Amino acid sequence: MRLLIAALVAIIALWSDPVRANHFDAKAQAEFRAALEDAKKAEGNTLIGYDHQPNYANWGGVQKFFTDKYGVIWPPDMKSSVTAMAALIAEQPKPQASVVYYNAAIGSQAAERGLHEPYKPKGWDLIPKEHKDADGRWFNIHYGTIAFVVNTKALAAAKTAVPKCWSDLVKPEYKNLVAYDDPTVQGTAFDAIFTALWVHGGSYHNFAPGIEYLKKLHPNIISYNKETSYNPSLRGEIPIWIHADGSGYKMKHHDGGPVEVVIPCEGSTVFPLNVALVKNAPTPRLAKLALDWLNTEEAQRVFAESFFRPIHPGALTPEVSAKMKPLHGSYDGLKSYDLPQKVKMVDAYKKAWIEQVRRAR
Amino acid sequence: MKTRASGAVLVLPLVVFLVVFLLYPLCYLAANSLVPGGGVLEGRTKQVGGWSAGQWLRTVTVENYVKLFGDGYYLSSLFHSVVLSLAVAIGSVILCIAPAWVLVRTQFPGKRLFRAVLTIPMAFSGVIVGFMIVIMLGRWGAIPAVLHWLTGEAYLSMTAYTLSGLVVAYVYFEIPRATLTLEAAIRKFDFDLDAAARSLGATLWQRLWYVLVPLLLPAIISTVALAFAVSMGSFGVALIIAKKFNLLPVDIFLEITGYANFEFASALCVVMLVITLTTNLYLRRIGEKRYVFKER
Amino acid sequence: MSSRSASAVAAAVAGRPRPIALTTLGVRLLTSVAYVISVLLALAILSPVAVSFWGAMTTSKAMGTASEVGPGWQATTTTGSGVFAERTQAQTGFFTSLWYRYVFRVYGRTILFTLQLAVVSVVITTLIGVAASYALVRYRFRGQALVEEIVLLPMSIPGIAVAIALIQAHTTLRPTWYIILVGHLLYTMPFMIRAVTNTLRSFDFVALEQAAASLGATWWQRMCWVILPNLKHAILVGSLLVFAISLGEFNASFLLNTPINQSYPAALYDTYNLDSFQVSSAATMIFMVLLFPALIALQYVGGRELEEAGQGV
Repeated sequence: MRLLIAALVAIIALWSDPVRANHFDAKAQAEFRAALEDAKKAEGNTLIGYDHQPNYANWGGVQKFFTDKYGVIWPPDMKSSVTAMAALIAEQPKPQASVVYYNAAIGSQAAERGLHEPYKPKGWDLIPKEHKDADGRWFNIHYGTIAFVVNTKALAAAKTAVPKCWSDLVKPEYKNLVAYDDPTVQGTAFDAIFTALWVHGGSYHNFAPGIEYLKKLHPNIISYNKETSYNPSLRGEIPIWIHADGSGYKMKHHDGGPVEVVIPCEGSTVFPLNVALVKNAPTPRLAKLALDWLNTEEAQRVFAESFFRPIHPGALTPEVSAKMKPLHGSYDGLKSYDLPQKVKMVDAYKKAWIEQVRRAR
Repeated sequence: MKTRASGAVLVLPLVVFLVVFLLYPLCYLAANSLVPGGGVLEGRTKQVGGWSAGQWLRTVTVENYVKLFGDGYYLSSLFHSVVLSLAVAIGSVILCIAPAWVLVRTQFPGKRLFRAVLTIPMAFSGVIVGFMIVIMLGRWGAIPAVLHWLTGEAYLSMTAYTLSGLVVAYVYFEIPRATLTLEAAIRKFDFDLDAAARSLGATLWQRLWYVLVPLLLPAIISTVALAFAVSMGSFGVALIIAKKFNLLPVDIFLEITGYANFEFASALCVVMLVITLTTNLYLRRIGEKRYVFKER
Repeated sequence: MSSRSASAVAAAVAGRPRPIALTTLGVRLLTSVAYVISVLLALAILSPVAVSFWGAMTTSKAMGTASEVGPGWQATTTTGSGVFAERTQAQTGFFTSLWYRYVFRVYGRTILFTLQLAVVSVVITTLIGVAASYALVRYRFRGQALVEEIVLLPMSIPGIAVAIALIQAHTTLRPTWYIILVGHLLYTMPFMIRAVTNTLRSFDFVALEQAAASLGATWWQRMCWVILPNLKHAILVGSLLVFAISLGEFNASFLLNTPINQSYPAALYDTYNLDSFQVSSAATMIFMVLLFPALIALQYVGGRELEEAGQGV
């Protein structure tokens, strides 16, 4: 009897654990390879995607892994989220890319503008509801947290302490030491200003607290880079970079930089990132297979090495998790925000930022 | 008749190429700047171009130009670009009189090498020049490093991203062009005129101001015009260095790649085109008309 | 006529004892100032080249100890898991070829493509340019000056404007590499045409042609045996210029690049953003190695044509 109950419990546990059920086992891999070979014959072996910045979420490593294992050339692409969307808009009706990756808010915007082809990859049902579009126009693959990526050596050279809170950044001793990318083109930077909004008591409709804070921060900002500031941050040209925590951990553990991650004391937000199939893609079969692959354990594990939290919880191994320790602050109580509502206010907030922060001289 | 025909045939490929790939696109650019625009921040979804002549006539509007000239931001970009380019053009030409003079009027071993060194930046694209300036004057540049080693303070660190750094970068870019052109002009200069002036008792200053400069002025003016056009369009340098300054080429780039607002970007391009073309033509005409010192 | 005697004559003529020394002193002073400025300029041009040459071949460890100010001089290889081994390898020793190998591995295709573009540009500009220059100088027809002006037009137009105009007007051509070629041709054609027309205008080739015709040469024979040999030098200079300019063209190419085909200057821009100082330096050095032969050849080969053509550089 006890054995029966134990067996029943085990079965129920397995059934309700989405991760363990989504095996990318030998059989599935063989099927995947066969499908890839077919697709390669029909479409050639190059897959073009937008927004695969090598230093972001370890796309460089992921693409290299994919190319080495499956023989499909998937070149990096330096476009940011908004730039990728703009490129897709400009290239209608024949876009040059088949797959695209974005900050989730931008990705949802793009889906609403009809730039994506609905496609539900294998294992669709196993993706939690909040991480996918009901019509299949996009799905999330991982998420990050907004944090301060601090180059300790550069700060020491500037004889300033490591900041712990958002309120520290506006102090005069941090003049010319802080930066975040241009939020109108970089998706993560948009999430940075979005976080500033919520942390200071704003909402989806009330932008004033965020804008006020960003205006106070403006004199301390070095510049609003339109390209990603990963390298300048690692090199110490930007001592404090408001960006995703994963980038900071990658700099620290993989690139050997004197970098620490700080989760601000007032709090932060979690933001997802999604992928989609482009409408009228030049290589749709390869793209669909790539999207299938992104939803497998294998891909999620390689992505997790970049310290972005994968959607499949089991993919984040304890070794990787152990390296994700911020110097100050903690991940407790951080939450992600309602994507549909967020998407509605993206453009309005960006415009407010442009008018009141960027152009205020 | 036969010679006429063969002349036409020989020049035809060039003419066809120019019409299809230069004149037509420029007209299209001007036309597209008069189409109502909008970027991703305004909810744009429509593709580039794709309007017929009839549609164009119906929707023609100057709203892009109104936005351009009405918005202080774009006006400041325009202003920055024009002033910077003009300053750099004049400054680099004046600076390069020195090496041009040395190349023409003096003899020393290794002169060819010297000229080769001066023309190194000629085929560098702007990005490389930007990189060079960053490695010399960025936060961890070579010059601040040397100064730090000598004095303990990293002076001049981060200069690359200031206005001075920008000027240095653009001047670096212009040195070979200015030098070569001035060298050609000085070479053409008839130094017997200088001797004649001396024989009439002119002082050095008088010789410089009343003989040399007026006769070199056409070359100087056309070099300035060309340097101005090149600096206005120099976009690689601006991408790497102009972090805190808004410059027109970078704005155009952002409108296209970041916001897909092709129509507005076309309007910005048209304004930039008009400025560079008119200054170029005007300055060259001035140079050629007033001082007729060309071997015809 | 030496300056001394001229001044003496001047003094005698003017009747006033003008000190000879002052005049020559003034000239000497100015010339020394010119020398100093020239040397400084040459140093200013060479020093960044030297710094990146140094950076491209030293290990991160060497750079780290060389300067207390610079963590930025440390190696970062930032394209993912497979490359970490290369980075730790770089920590030993002083010199390394790692950065060059890395650039070739990642951007090898781009380098080849850029060279191809340059060669194709040379071929096409020679064919179209020489033919057109000949026609422009030989025959007088309406619009002749206009054609020459329009050829020179791209030099006064910012590359980015030309690129945008091309993208919008030729949407079918946009996804292919031909559009990059068109951009390069627009910017290199003026140089070839200028070099050839200047040469043609400098000697009376019409007389030569007529002499050949009077001896019974056909049009084709006149071209091959009379005109073209005299243009050899101009075509050589023009080709070198076209090659050099095509290699370095960035303003227009940056917008015209496709995801698959990128010209090398755009790849350089990527390394400046993506990669460490060492990798960027190595990439820049490779660019110079590709470019310098053309520039040096230009110095030795080019004479008047270079100066004339250089007026528009």
